[in-house]
Amino acid sequence: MTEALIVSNIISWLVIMALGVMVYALSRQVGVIHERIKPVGALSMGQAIQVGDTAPVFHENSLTGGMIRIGGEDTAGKSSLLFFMSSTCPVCKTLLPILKSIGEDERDWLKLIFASDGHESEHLGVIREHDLRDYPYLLSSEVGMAYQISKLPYAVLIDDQGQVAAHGLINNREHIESLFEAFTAARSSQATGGQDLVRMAG
Amino acid sequence: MDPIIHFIIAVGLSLLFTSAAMHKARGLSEFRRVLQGYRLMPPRLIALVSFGVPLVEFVVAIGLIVPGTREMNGVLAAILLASYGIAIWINLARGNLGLDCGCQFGASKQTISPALVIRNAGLALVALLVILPTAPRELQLYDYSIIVFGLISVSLIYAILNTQIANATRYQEINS
Repeated sequence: MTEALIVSNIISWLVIMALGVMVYALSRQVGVIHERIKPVGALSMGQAIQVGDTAPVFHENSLTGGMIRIGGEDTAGKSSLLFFMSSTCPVCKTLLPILKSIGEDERDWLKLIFASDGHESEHLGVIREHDLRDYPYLLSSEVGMAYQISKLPYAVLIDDQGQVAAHGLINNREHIESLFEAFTAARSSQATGGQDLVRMAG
Repeated sequence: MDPIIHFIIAVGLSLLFTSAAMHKARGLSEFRRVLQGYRLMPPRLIALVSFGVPLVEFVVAIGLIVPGTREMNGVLAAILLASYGIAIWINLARGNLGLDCGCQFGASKQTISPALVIRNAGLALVALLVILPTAPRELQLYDYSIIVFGLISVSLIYAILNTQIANATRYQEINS
């Protein structure tokens, strides 16, 4: 009898451990799914700023030198991608190399501008670490407030006429590209005079 | 208390502290960043504390498996676990909800949550069980196999608990 109990007990332990391994694997998978179901396509929060609105105009000092103007008609005919970030947000940092490569690829028509607020020293560190010297980088909480940014990282695409073309929460490259897609869709419909589509694209 | 349970608790905590100390020692700069985020000490102290914590954890981990010093280190372990819990609790009370708890060590960010405070309180209570007297009895081969099974199961359950807390936190972030 004792022997039977010992055997049964050992089997119980083995079953418990097997179940433990499976529950662990399951909970890891749930975590992976959570990562994946993050909104596809940049998510607009629907606040004060709307697609088609005239973007608030700002003149700000750039941490990388010089003055930058946000909003208003661009004389060079370029659009601006205003990227709102924080020095303490890990997702923002993982996006920096992607943004840099996009800024490089699309330089013909797009100006990349980084916007944040907080202590200058921390941001100088970020600029050094990620080599952002070639891009304007502004520190201003007013800009964030004017554009009603409540979540980071957030991007606002402003066209060469100074109008908001697309905006949304950015978590990966696809989200940035979805802003460009909304922008081109709006462009082509504008060309054909379909003003309603412009609104829908946002 | 039966010596088997005593043994599982002591060795389990020792493993926990060893892995915690190794994690911190391997990612010192990351650990400093996490400490800074907690905003609980003047910046000058951070370098010192970032060395001190893994060192103390390592000493406790060893002390827990050395029979003579087990009780004392059980108390130390409870104090350490409770103080981590209190550090998280203070930041929750401050409303510093976006704080990276440092649980994942840079692999991915996990924000602090009340579940972590409860987890640490539970662990601290378990650590205190080490000071209870054990009923001495001769351990046989079978007892040792139970200790091994028990340790594996307890570690698994702890790992599951941690991923569940991380999942719940992440799910809340998606939903918010």
